[in-house]
Amino acid sequence: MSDTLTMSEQEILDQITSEVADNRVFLYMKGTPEMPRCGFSNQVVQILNHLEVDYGARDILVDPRIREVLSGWSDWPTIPQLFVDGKLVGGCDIVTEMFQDGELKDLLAK
Amino acid sequence: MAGRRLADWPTPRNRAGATVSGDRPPPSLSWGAMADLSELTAMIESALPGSTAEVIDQGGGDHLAATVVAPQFAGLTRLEQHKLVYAAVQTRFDDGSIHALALRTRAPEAT
Repeated sequence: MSDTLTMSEQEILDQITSEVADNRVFLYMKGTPEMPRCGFSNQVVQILNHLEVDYGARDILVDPRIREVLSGWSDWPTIPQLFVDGKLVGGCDIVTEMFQDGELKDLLAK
Repeated sequence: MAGRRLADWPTPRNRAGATVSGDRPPPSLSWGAMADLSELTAMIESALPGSTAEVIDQGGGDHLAATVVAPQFAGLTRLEQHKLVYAAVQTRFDDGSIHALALRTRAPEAT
């Protein structure tokens, strides 16, 4: 992951749109999959790991502008945010509910 | 879930950052506005005519959970359903009376 601190907000937005376009499953989270720094982010990581999904992730805590730019672009206020096939699926509540209902597995298996 | 006990609250501090003793914070410190659950239910049900909403307190008065069944949800993704509910109560997030609202949403069963 490249360091965003020297990037402009436009460059951060370009990075987000390419991450979401280039990775079938991409998670914006607090912390990293190896070391989540928020219970909600951790829960989504645990679900993705349980489903043995290949996914990319970005830690939004390294630069506060990532979250501002991301939420402005996705129109979703909270973190984590899970994207599949370029579309925002949701945050912890929605991902958890879809996991429990089996919908998430179906979506990821497509 | 039980409400938060006094011991769970952060230690009150005054504007100079000094710890404030006593059981209650001084008037300059806010305990946080308590959300009015029946008002929130009414806000959701009026924004989504025909819906039924149930809002409960998960502790502390500002961490809430809602279950909403609305005909407007038919054909929408969960994300779109949640956005409709958040929009209905946005003013209560803006004024700080809600800090978190966990949602379960669905369209009514087809008849």
